[in-house]
Amino acid sequence: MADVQTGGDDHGGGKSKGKKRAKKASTHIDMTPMVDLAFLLLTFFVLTSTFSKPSAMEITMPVDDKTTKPTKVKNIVTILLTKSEKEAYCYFGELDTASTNPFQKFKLSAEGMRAYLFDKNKDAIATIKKLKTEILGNKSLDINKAQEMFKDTANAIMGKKEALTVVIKTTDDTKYGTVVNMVDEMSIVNVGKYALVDISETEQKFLDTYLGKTE
Amino acid sequence: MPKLKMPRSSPSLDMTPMVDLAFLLVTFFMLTAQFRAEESVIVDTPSSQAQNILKDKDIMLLTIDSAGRIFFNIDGKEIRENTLNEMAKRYNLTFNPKQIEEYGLGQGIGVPVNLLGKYLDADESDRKKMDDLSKGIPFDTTLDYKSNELYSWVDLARRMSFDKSQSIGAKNGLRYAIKADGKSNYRVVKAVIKMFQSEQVNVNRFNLITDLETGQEEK
Repeated sequence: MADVQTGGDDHGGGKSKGKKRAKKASTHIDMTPMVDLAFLLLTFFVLTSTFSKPSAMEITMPVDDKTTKPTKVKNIVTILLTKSEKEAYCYFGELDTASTNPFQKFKLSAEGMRAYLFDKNKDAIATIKKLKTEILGNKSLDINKAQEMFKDTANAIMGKKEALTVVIKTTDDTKYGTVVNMVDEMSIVNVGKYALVDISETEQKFLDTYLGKTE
Repeated sequence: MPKLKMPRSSPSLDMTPMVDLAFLLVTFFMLTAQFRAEESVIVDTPSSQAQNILKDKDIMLLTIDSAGRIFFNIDGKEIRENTLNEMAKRYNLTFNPKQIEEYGLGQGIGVPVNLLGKYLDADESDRKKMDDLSKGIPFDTTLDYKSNELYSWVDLARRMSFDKSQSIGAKNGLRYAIKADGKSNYRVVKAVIKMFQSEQVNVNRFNLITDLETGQEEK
């Protein structure tokens, strides 16, 4: 680097042909290979390290207990998932067996299925939203406590008897990804009560004729 | 005034801070890095907004690939070795100590138990071949261990895990994770879940492993 030359040299910074001085060995080492190596390692670790552990979606399946009697639930949406990853069929309440076409067809997207479920569940969503601003906006509460409180009350609302219940039914050729997306959708639209159930024979029959018609 | 001669500056810069930083980052990544566990099968899990991070201890993991093949894995060397010993008893097989040791260290398996000895003796590339050829762990909807080896694995591994947690007084029970490919048929997953829910196993809570979904805002 900037060497300071001092005294005895008439020619300033020029190369003197006079008395030869022993060159001071530079203390600098060429660091380039080391830096190369460092960055190589850096790149390697950046690319190979996995930061995110896989997330897991916890589901609890209904216990297959033959002694429990089926309960009448009013506010119930049944969704039938088929082979298609884009569309699903659904009906509200009880299956209208008299009708030739009891199903509504929805696209599995924000505008289709989600909008429908939003609409069906809008009361609960509105209450939860209000709660959220109320509880989480309350500065006098500890943030963790508030969050827990919000979670508990929200769960209570979603678990109410008159809250929307969604029954997800699958056919033999439904893809696993479609089911997971549907279960995920439940958390988006604040549905606390949902179940994965086998399709009934009547529904399968309706679905068969319906799919046979469109194809 | 004499012409002021600027000292000719050397074109090399002082790299010390950069090197410092580079090594700092290297150290950081080295210490935090967790290497992706060697997986016997590649599975493309569906994405979800679930935020629960799965702990990597006390996990029984069933991997289901897009073809519906099932792979079984459980963590903990001791549990694994005990499970293998019990499996050997149940299927009248013998494993030598080296194979048992190898299984204790190893990863998930997806070969029928009668091929397991050969699998454990094989090296990495031969195992890969066996994995590719395998149809997964034999599984059907019966609870007969002769045709449903998966049931045996699950059943015995549960017992071994339970024994171990009893002996050390641990509270945390085993968790059951299912890692299935988004393209796999739900029927297979359903059958597996059904087996878990049977009276003999009686597990009703599962963790479905998913990728974290990004960029989607809640309405």
